Formats: sequence, C-alpha cells, structure tokens
Amino acid sequence: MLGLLVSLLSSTIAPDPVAADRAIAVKVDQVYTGEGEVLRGGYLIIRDGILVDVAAASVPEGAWVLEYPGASACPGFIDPVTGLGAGRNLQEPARAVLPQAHAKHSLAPFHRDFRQAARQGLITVGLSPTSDNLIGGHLAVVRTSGPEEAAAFVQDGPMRMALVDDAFEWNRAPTSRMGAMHLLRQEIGEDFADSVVIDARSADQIRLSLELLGGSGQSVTVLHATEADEVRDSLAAAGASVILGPYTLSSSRHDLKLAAELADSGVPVAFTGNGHAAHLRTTAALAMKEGLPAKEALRALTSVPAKILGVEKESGTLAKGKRADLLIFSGHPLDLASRLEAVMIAGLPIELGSTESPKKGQGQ
Amino acid sequence: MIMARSKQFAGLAVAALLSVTAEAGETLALRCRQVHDGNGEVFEPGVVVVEDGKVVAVGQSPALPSAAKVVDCGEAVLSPGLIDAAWQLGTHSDVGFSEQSSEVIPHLHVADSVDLHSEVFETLAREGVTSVYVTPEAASVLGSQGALLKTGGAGISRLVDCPPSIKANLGPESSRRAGWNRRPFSNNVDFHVRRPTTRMGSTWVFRKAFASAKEYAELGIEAVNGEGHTEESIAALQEVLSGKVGLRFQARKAHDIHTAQRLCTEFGLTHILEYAQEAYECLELLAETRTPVIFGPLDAQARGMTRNFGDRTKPCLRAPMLLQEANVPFCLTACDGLGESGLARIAGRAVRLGMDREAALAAVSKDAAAILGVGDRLGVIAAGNDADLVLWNGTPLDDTSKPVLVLIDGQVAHDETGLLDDES
Amino acid sequence: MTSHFESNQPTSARRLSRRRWLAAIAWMLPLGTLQAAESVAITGGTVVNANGDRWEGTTVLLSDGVIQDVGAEVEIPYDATVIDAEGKTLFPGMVLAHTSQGLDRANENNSVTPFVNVYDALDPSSLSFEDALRAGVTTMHVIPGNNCVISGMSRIVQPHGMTVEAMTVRPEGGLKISISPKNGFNRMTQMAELRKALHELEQHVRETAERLYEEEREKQDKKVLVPPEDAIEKGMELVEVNDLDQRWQTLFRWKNGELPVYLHCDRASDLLRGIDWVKSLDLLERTTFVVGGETHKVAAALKATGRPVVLPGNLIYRETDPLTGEESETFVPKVFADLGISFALQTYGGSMGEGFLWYQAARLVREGIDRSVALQSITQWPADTLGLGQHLGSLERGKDGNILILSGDPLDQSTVVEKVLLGGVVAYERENDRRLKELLTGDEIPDEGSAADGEEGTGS
Repeated sequence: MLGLLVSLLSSTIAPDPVAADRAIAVKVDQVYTGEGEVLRGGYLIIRDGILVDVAAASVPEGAWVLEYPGASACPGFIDPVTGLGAGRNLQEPARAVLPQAHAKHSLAPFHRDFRQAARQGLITVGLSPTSDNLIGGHLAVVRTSGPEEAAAFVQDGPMRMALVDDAFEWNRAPTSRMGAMHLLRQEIGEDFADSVVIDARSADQIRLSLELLGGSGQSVTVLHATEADEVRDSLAAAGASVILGPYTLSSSRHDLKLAAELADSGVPVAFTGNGHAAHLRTTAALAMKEGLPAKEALRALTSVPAKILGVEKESGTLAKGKRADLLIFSGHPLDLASRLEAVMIAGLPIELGSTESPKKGQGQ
Repeated sequence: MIMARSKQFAGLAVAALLSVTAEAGETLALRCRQVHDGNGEVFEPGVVVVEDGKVVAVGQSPALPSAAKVVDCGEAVLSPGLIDAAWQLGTHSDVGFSEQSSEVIPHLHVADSVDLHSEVFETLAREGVTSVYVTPEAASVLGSQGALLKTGGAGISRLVDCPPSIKANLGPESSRRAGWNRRPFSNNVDFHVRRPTTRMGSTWVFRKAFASAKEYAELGIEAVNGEGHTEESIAALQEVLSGKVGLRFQARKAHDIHTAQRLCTEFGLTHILEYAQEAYECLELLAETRTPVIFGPLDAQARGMTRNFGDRTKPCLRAPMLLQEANVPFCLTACDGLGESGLARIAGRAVRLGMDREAALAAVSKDAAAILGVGDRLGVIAAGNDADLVLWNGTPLDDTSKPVLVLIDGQVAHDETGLLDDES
Repeated sequence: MTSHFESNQPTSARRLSRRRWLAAIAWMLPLGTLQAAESVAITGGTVVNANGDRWEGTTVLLSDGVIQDVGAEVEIPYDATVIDAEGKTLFPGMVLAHTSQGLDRANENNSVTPFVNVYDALDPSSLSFEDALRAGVTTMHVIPGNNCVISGMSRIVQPHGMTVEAMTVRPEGGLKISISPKNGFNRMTQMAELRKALHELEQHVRETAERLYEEEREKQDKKVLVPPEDAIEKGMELVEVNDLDQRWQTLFRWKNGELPVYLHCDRASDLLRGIDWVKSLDLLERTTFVVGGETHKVAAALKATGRPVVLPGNLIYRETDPLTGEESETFVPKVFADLGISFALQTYGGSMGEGFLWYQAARLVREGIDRSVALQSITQWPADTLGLGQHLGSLERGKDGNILILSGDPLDQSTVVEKVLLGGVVAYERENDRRLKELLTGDEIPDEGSAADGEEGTGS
C-alpha cells in the first residue's frame, strides 16, 4: 500500500523550477529532528530548499504534499571523512607536510560514488586527504547530489593531519615521531587552521595530538581514536570530538564500546562509514548494541559531523532555517530493518533507483 | 624554540604531577623486616614514612606523623626503586625511534618518540624498575636528547626533569644503516646515500659538526643550514660545548672508548660511556678521567657484529668488580632485558660473581641516579627523595626473592600483597 | 654459583674452542680415568640433602664410588683419601632429566625415526657438558627434541669423558614421542602419522611372523597347511626383536612395554589426548610426560595418572584473552606443587640465569614454593623419573658418589661449585678451571706447554 502510494507520488514528482515558490509539505508519523526530540502529528514545511517549519499544523496554500504514512523522517546523514569518487587522487605521499593542499581539487562531481551515496541517504560528506601525510591539506565539504545529479562543493573543511604509522615513510623526512613533533611544532602556528581532523589511534598519539592542537579556540577532532578510552578525560577537557568507525560484526567489543564510553564522558562522537551509508547504519546499530543511546547515535550521523565539518548552521538537524536535507525511513532511522523510502536534498526528492537491493553476484 | 619545547614537556609533567598528588594524600609508614636505603645502610627493622609522593623519614624507629597509617609488611624487605640508565625496548612504535633523515640530530628529543602508554613500563614497574632513562637509538652519529621517565605511578609513565644529554655513537651501529644506501644500478638517490659507512666516516661527521658549532660560536654569528648540520643542530651542539647539555657515547669496544676520549679532549667536553663492554681493558684511562660508565650487558655472551666490522666484544664477568676496584664511577644496565634478564637479576648476577650486595644494589639505584644527575631526589631512600620503593619477599636482588609491592611517587604501581588495598 | 660460557657460540668461536678441547680435557685426565679409589672421606662439611635436610659437621664416606655412610660420627679407614670440606656444603649432584644439549641438532627432519639413537650424535667435546659439570649437573638425560612425531632412543650420561661410552650411565633412556604436532603438521596429521607408524610396525611384525612360521615348517620338512591368518597367529609366538628389521626394533620393544617413553605434550588438550593414547595401548605405566606450560590447566588429570612429569624450561606461561586483550601469567610449577605433584625441572637456554638448574629451583622458592620441593625437583625427582632413583639424587648409603662440594647453600646466590665428584672421584675443581678464569677476567690464561693450543687469540 505504501509502495503504491510512493510510486504514485514519485511519478508526479518532477522538480519543477517554475513553481519554485511553491512550498512542499511532508507528512510522516515521526520526525527525529536530531536534537533529541521526536515530533509527531505535524508537517515539515519546505520553501526554497529551507525548512520553514518542522511541526506545522496545517499545509500552506498550494503546497506540494508528500505523505508517508507510518514512516519516520530524520536529517540527512553526514559522513565527515570519505574518499568518494577520488580514487588515488587524495593520496599524496611525496611530502610529509602539505598544508596548502585542498581536497576540493580532487572532487569528481559526476562520479557514480556520489550518486550511490545520495541514494543511500548520505547527503553531505567530507572529502578528505588520506593519512599518508602529517599535514595533508584541507577537507572539502561536498553535497553528494543536487540538480543534474552532480555532487557540489560547499566549502573548505577542517585541516587533515595524521600521527599514525602510515604518515611516516622510511625514505621521506621526517622518518620518526621525534622529527615529526619537531616539524609540526614549527608548522602549527597562530594562523594554522581553525579546525583540525587528526588521525590518531594509540593513547600516546592522541595525547600528542592534544598537546599540539587546540590552542586559540582551535577545534580538534580525533579520527579513529582506537585507545580513546584510556585518555577520555583529556579529550573531554580539551573539548575535542572523535570520529569512530566503521564497525562491522567482527569489530572487537572494546572498539564497539568506545562510542558509549566517550558519549558518557561528554565527548562528541561522530561515525564514519568511509562514504557508505550502509556502513554508517551498521556502525550506529552496533554501537547502540554496546550501550550508545539512540539519541547519541543519531547525532553521530548528523549534527556532530555537521559541526566537525563546519556546516552546523545549515545542516545536521531538522530545525527551522536549516536546509531541507532529510531522509524518510519506513521505521526508526537507526533500525537496520527500516527501509529508506525517500531522500530529499534541499527539499527535492531524488531518484532512489534500486540501490536498496543487493548487487548482482553478492552474497555467499 | 628550545624554550617552547621545554614548556611543552613541563606542561605534561605538571599535569601528571597534579593527578599524582591529588590521589596520594595519605601518609604511610611502611614497617619492614629490613630497609636497605641504597646508600650502604640496612635498618633492621626499618620504617619508611611516605607523604605526598616523597619520603619524609627513614630509620629503625623514626618519629611518625600523627596522621600516618602504619602498614606492617611483616618479613618483607624494602629497597629503593631500581633505575636503568640506558633503556630503549618497547618505548616506541614500529615507525622508528630515531630520525633517519640526518645523522646529526641533537636538537630532537626522544621524549617525542616515546609511547608513554607502552606496556613495557608496566612490566618494568612490576620487576622493581621505577625509573628508566630512555636513550636514543644508536643509529645516529650525534643523536637526540634522552628522557628520564618514571615507569608508573600515575597510571602511565611520565617524564621527569633531569639534566639533558645527547648521545653519540661512532661504532658500527651508526654506519650499519649505510647498508640501506642505494646500491649501483638503482636510479633512486635518496637521503640515505649520504651516510658514513665506516668509523672514520662517523668520526668525521662528529668532528665536522662540533667544529662548525665551535666556529659559529667563535665568530659570534647565527648558524645557517650547511653540510651535515642545520641551524638548529648547531644551536644544540653549542649547548653541549658550553656544558649546558651533556654528552653520552655508546662505545662497546676498547678502541671506541679511546676514540671517545680523544674527541672529548679535542673539544673540551666531558662524557658518559654507555654499554662500554670492554671498559675493563681501559681501566687506567677511565680511572684517570673519572669517566662514568653505564655498564652492560653482564653476561657470558660475546657481543657485536663480526662480518664487516670486526666488532666482537669479549665478555668479562668480573668487569663491574674491576671498575669498582679502579674507582671508576659506574652503574649497571639491563640493556633492554626483562624477566630473568631484567635489571634486578643482572644486579643479582653481580652479587653472585662476587660483588658486595649493597654495592650491587647501589649500582642499580644510587649510582645510576648520580650518573643521571638526579642523585638529589632518586636512588636512595632518604628524607626529601621521591617515594620510589620496592618491597621484596626476601633479600633484595636475591634469586629466591621478587618484588611484591612497588611504589612510584608514593603511588602503587604493582601490588601482590594487598597491603595497601583499602584506601580509607 | 659459577657461570659458564654460552654453549651456542657462533662457529668461529666453537672452532677455536674445539682446538683447545684437548687441552681442556687433558687437565681432567690426571684426576682419574674414573677408576674409583678404595676409600674417600669428605669431612667437616654441612650436608644439604635432596629434600633440604641440613646436617652440619658431617662426613660422607665412599668406597668403590658408592656412598657407604653419611653422618657425624663416621669411622674413616686409615687408607682413605680425605677431602677436607670444612666450611663447605655438600649437595647431591644435580640431575637434568631432559635435554638436547650435546647433540648437534635437537631434532631430525623426518617425522618417524624410531631407529635413530643419540649415541651417534652425542659430542663429548661439546661445551655444554663442560658447562653442565661446572654448574653442578652430574647426570644428563640426552634426548632428541620436541619437534618430532617419533624420534629416537635417548641416553643417560654424565658430563665427563672422552668418549660416549666413557660418559654413559645408562645406554638407553627411552623413546621420544610427541603428541603435539611438529612444525608444519597439524594435529590430524600428527596423530595420523603416529597411527600409521604403529600400523606399519604391526604389518611388519605380521610379515615376520608369517615368514618365521614358514621357515619353521620348512625346517621340519613340513608344508604350510594352514591359511595365512593362522600361520601369522602361530608365527607370532616365534617373533623376537632381532628377527625384525632394525628400523622397527626400538618401536617394537616399546610397544611391548620394554622401553620407557618420554611423551611430549605441549598443550592441555595434547596432554589429555596423550594420556588417552598411552592408556589405549596399555603403556601408561611406561610413560613420562614432558609437558608444556599450558598443561597446568589439566594438572589434575596428570596427577591422577601418578606418572612422572618433566616441566618446561620456560616456567612462566603467558596467555592473552582473545576477547579482552588482557594478558595473564601463570608460574607453572606453582600449580603442580600446589597439587602435590612431583616434577623435574629443565634449564632454559641462556648463558646465565635460567641456564642453571639451581637458578630454576631458586625461582620456585621466589614464587612461594617450599624449599624442599625446589631442591628435590633438581635431584631426587629427576633421578626417579629416569628410573635411577635408587642410585642417584640424594646423599644416602648405597647411592653413587655423585657429590657437589659447594661454597655455600645450593640456592644461595653467591654459592659456587668448588668440586664435583663423579662416582667418588673428583672430576672438576674450580681452582683449576682455566676457561672459567678467562670468562671472569677477560684475560687469556696461557696454557702450560700443550702443542694443540695455539697462538690465536680469542680477542677483539
């Protein structure tokens, strides 16, 4: 029944630029705003791609009405660290320190990775240099889809850094951490970057990251942070965020518990699925299994990564004034059994295709 | 730049220190069958009073503060925490300890490479070693500055203030890496090709670097990057020349020991010898110059590489006694040994080979602290010193006894006794 | 106690040492080609016996290499050789119940080789024997290593003598078999190889039986009138060891319960399987278990068998919990000691420390095990394990005169071995130990006039 309704609706939905002044009204059973509350019974009103109301009692005159009975809405997923569509173009091992590099120059807007991501509910991503450098360059905030189904550059994101073993090469200076720390102290001055994402896994690497960064209100996000449990007090005191995942069924108990432990200590947690929404959802589900509250899990896919990427003013939650990037699920957004019914980017639904069915040749 | 660096480390040490004193609020009085104070005295019975991470009193029956909680350790025996003055193992990740892009790196710091969370520190603490001086890898001719760490006490190991020193190595290790130089028929020329391949090459690098530093100092101008040095390394070497930063030489063989002396004479430097397995062949020289020796390993195996460098050292098991008789200041190191090759067992071997027990204990506590320049706070159980204490279930260093309780800065780093369980 | 050279020296050093072994052994000779003197009396010393019993001012009297009396008031024959042990401690010579020292390689490549014998590989000039004697070990059970399926025959020797025969205490120790898979095998393959070996043995025995029966009938000028099965059955009674191919003789003897087996079981499950296996062959009573650290988990099963145990040289068993990543350490002998199981200790590589039996025993005391257990695990219990408990392992009337004269208590850190008596004859004296002096001082001690010794320095 729902399927029929949706297919009827989708056949009539053509983004109509002429009627741009027409509002769009979306009705679902539950709205998960991403701020911790669940709204029921109202309409989401969208105008010009912006949410003007999240719990309207009535529909404005002449508005498109989209109804999804029994469904839930939530903000579009945001994956802060991906390599979508770039292949090896984000990996530059020639020099250890490349603060002038920008991932936006490696953006391939028509690559199908982006289309695929959008169809799975991943609306905004951070395109990031790899961990092959101590300082890799700026991330790029990218919208995975839009008019003409092309990805679009939004703005420059945080600076990418790394202290993990990958960031060292035996034949490229510096070859050791002592050389790296010396060099980084010189590079990281007053006007280094407002926001940094640093790949640091061992407790020691995290400790050194917090030592190097965080001055003058610089916001610090630690990526991977495998041993964050040993230094969570330092992370909380520094106001740092953490990006965890992706997790799978073979991830260790210790890793899966991290999200809950950090959330408990007041450290904001975001998840990454390396650009795959399915991985994001699995990561969230597994973390919830080990104690992460659902509220925090949803934040980890929406508002926390938005803050990390610096787009929290316009994305990350369903609130008045924010972009109308939202997902419609047949059930709770974090329930793996829920089906993704629709994806709206700036208020316009996109063609979902058959992305939800298994690819040919998969499965054993 | 150097100022900024020390601020960084100070910040870390202070942060750790704060967390230590916050927890160690209790005053403890440990009453033991014996207390070996590390300075040659044995109190029987003995009491040590610990407050705020420091020892406040030690003796047969010192006056106890009223708030002191008396802990009766029964038949157990207390000694100072052991100190290893030259440690490397397990303190860094696979990436590599020492910077390979240059042989002259005295401006860099081992502390930046050390993993304070490494599990090796727990093992060391459990075996009674409460402080280790992490020494740079021998792969550089003029290596970086070492770091003194407590192996536990605040949850992780932590840096301790100690007079800085860099380490030089003219032996095979610094030219061994030249094996990575690109061979003929290879197109890539990278910075590894610059390495010296012989002792004379290494010595040249040493002399060039110090000569340049001296020249800049005499001319009174700022150093610039040049062959074999950078402005930073020159600045660091000038601190060595002026005596602000010390110098260690890793020199296993007798002729390396002589070369070290010769170089120091040339530049007016004093030095400490590390490992110095053949020190027993240079007793006169060492006694005359009173050069401190960090001696190790103490075992019956011949060491060193034979193939290209003729570097095999001959073991001499009585070497520590010979050094002692010749009045050469020395301490023992386990050379990265753990378990039955750990520092406590090495000192035990020295006892077995004829060394007086108190002297052997001093060789891994008080004497090591003196050589590291921290003799005013570590190595001896005395009022005002850090409360780094080891409780043994028998005679300290004996094969039939082991540490059962280890305190670092007054905090429990290892406890099999359960004596300090209730923190009321 | 004394220290000794690392026996696994690189080739050049060994060659060097080899050239001097003649000189080294030469000084041993004048002290007796091990013909026992009439009477020897060791007087004035403190006896510490295998179980830790301590008697001061005691005399030990020997005759023809056998202990005649131990006591405070012992009558000394007028013609006895007297050794003054005033201020010294007497202790039984230590017994090493399982070692592959003295062999050029510990293991044979091929998996089933019951026909090999350590006799062929034992090298009397090996430094490990000299080291053992210096460290107070008077009996060594030289046996192939653990990396095998069925290895060969072992031998019990004393670490003194120019030929293997001169060193031999018992020419046959037992057969070495491993339940734990050898390198490259998994457990299925290991057990399959064991069963296959036994099966092939059986086939061979049956063939031999049939052949013998036919020969017997021929001798009597009779034909074989029975089917093969019956011929084999009748022929079985005729089969003796020497009728079999030499390759199968050892295995046959073991299968018939004539030889002990030293069964290597590394892991807990290996031990349980090993116990079942020897029980199924009705050979439990001929089995000694050479175990690995993890077997502490099933020590109770071992105790139930009542059979002797040889513990691994590495006394600490470490395990990482796969779920939590936590490491745990178990001091293996403690588990066995707490269950009241007697065991023999091994040494563990190294040139010092764990390379000494007495040091391993000292570690037991360190971990809270009774001193008498520690002492017996290096003397009486290994002697019992080797089936020589009546002759070795303690200072008692009727036992062999394998005695150590020590400068102090056997477990005391500063004690050294001053003299070693083998069969009542002084076979080692520390004050004449030139190689030890070199090791201690790093000097070369000039050799008195032996041409075999050379000009070459061991120097830098």
